[in-house]
Amino acid sequence: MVKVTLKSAEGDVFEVDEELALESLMVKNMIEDVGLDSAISLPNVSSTILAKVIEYIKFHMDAQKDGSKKTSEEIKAFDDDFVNVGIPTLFEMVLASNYLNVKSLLSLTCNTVANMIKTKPPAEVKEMFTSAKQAKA
Amino acid sequence: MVYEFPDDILEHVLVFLSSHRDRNSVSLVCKSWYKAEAASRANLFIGNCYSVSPELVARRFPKVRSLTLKGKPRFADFNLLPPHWGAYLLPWIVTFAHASLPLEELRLKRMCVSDEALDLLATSFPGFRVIVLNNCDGFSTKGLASIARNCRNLQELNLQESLVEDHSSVDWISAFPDSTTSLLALHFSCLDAAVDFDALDALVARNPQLRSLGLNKKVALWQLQKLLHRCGPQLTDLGTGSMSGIGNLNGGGAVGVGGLPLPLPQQLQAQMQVQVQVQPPQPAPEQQEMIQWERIQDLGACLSSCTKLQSLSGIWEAEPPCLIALYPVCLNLLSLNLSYANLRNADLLQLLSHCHKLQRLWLQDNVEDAGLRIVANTCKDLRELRVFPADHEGVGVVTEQGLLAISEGCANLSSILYFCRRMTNSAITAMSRACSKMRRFRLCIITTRQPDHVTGEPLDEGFGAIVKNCKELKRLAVSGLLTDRAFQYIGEFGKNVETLSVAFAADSDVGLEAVFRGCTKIRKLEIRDCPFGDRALLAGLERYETMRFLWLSGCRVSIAGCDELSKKLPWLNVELVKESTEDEYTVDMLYVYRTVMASARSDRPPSVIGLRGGEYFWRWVRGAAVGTSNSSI
Repeated sequence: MVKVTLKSAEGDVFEVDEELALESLMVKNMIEDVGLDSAISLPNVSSTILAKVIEYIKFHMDAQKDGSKKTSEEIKAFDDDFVNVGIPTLFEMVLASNYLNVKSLLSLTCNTVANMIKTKPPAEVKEMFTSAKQAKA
Repeated sequence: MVYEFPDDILEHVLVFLSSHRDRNSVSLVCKSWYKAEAASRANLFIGNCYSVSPELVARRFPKVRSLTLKGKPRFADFNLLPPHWGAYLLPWIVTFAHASLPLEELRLKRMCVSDEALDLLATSFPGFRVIVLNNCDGFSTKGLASIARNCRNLQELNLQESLVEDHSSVDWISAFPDSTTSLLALHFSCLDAAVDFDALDALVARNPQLRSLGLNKKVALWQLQKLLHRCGPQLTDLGTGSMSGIGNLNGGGAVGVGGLPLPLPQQLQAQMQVQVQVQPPQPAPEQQEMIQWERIQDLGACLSSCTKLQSLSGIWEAEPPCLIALYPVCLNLLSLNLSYANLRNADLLQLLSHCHKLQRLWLQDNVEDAGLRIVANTCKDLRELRVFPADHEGVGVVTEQGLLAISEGCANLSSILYFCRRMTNSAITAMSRACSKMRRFRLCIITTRQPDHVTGEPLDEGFGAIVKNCKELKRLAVSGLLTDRAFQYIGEFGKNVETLSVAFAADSDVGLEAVFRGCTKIRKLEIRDCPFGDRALLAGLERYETMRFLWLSGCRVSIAGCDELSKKLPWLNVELVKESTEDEYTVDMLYVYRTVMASARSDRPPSVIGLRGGEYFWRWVRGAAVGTSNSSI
């Protein structure tokens, strides 16, 4: 199995299967452009978030394999648990999945953000996003 | 200071937000969100067509595909508005067409729709698909013909309860071109005139996706049968035409003419006999009975083929034998509207006893209390009940007994409209306890100011129980003899009440003051013939900004009070009608609503005075002749 090396914002190196790396359309394009020889640098994604993204893609790739015994409930439970994080982490995952162009993760995280907005009055929505920024800063 | 989501990411989030309320929240977060939300809003709901101008809407929401627009206040239904009041559709269509908005769906309620507007609509928006006109007027079959002719992708034409002028020279059904094959829903039950049946039949034949069909009473029984042979199995929603003529050999002879009767499959015959449980007459001495029976079987087979039917209405002029044929259909119905079916009580009760799955039931009060007991025993999952007054005097009206029966039988009831002859506090209280999921409670005792008919007390405690026990109550219409006490209860406990309708009630300003003080979520308030004056009107200053409207007619509000209101809240439109000469300063009708438009609307009739910013009062007092119809200022 061919491996791809991904380098996070902090410079940490993640070695993953090519198959997994190609799930990110951004990485796929990079590979097409520059080949597999050098590490692919992802300056916009922190190590923590990159590890989460890899975990997500790996779970779903396994779940889709023929021999997988994962039920749709188990997959849903994984997804629910996966996005059950603090707002700052969630927002970083939104940005990362957008940057890395992982469509299913972008949908999952954006849907989660939307659900947090639902039924809240404007002031609370604003506060939710402001406190996220403060936490980040 | 909002966390910066790049616009393209925010769009991904907005995809998952469809409710108007959430969308509104997002647009208020910050400027960039406002822009991103506006640029992506496809569905727009405008609860009052004068709260905003069409130009502003077109500018802010360039991608709007679906527009819901509401016009006149609800009391227009009771002829309380002056003629030519407004709520015209045309300026909206002109503006949207000019801005080339990608409009596909239009849902209107109580708007004044003109043929010109329909014509422009039909020719300006190539992707137009859905038009629903609920309680609209001002247009004719000419406008419908234009929609039919020009909207090549039309999926739904629904006239609901609209008032449509008939041009006998225009056959709008024939105007649908042969290329119209996309129809999903067609409803024209409110039309008085007959439509060309051959054209209708051909239209139904070439629209295999039709799911919802509402005919008017001019469509005869044999015609219904012919249509059902084409589309019956796929229909989920059916409004029948006339259901008479089955026993009439001469008049109903058309059954044969229309290509019927068709041979009845064996299993359907068997099913009919099992489900209907009516034995065919023994070899009949009279031929007529035999023929009638055959026709009922035909009709029954036809209706039995409608296996997906969930909603049934119409049933105009129904003859008892036809009702028997409906029984198999009733077993699966979720919604049944009998408000136009003038059934005899006994036939009605028979029919209802077959409707076990009903969630929504509309009928006339000739159902009587005994009929409601059958409903209570049969329809265990009933969520919505409406009992309308039939056109008769004294006989067959429902009372507190019927309400009690429903309370005992239908614990899931969440919406009720109940026109009755008399009521008691204990019956209302019982319902508040048994049906605690109630969200819409509307009671109308036909004679005004009726006390509890057993104790003679006001109905304050009954309505008090409703607001105390039904925590989710959103809509309330009160009736009967009510003192300020009832309104104090509503203010104290009705924390989720959004719409309140009041007529002929309360003692003083205190009642309305209590409502304004307590009901912080109030959005729509309509009041007629109550002793509420300026003090009550000005008690609502904190509420008007978040309310859609306030309607007051036959109350004690003065011109000075309206002027004061208009001065204090200059962004409100304050519209009044002053016609009676009895009292120099009391207004007959007052309609107050918030708006982002910069001035009073210009399309009001001369009898409606528009106040804005309080500048007109003294001019009015000094100059205008009170009581003349040309009192526009």
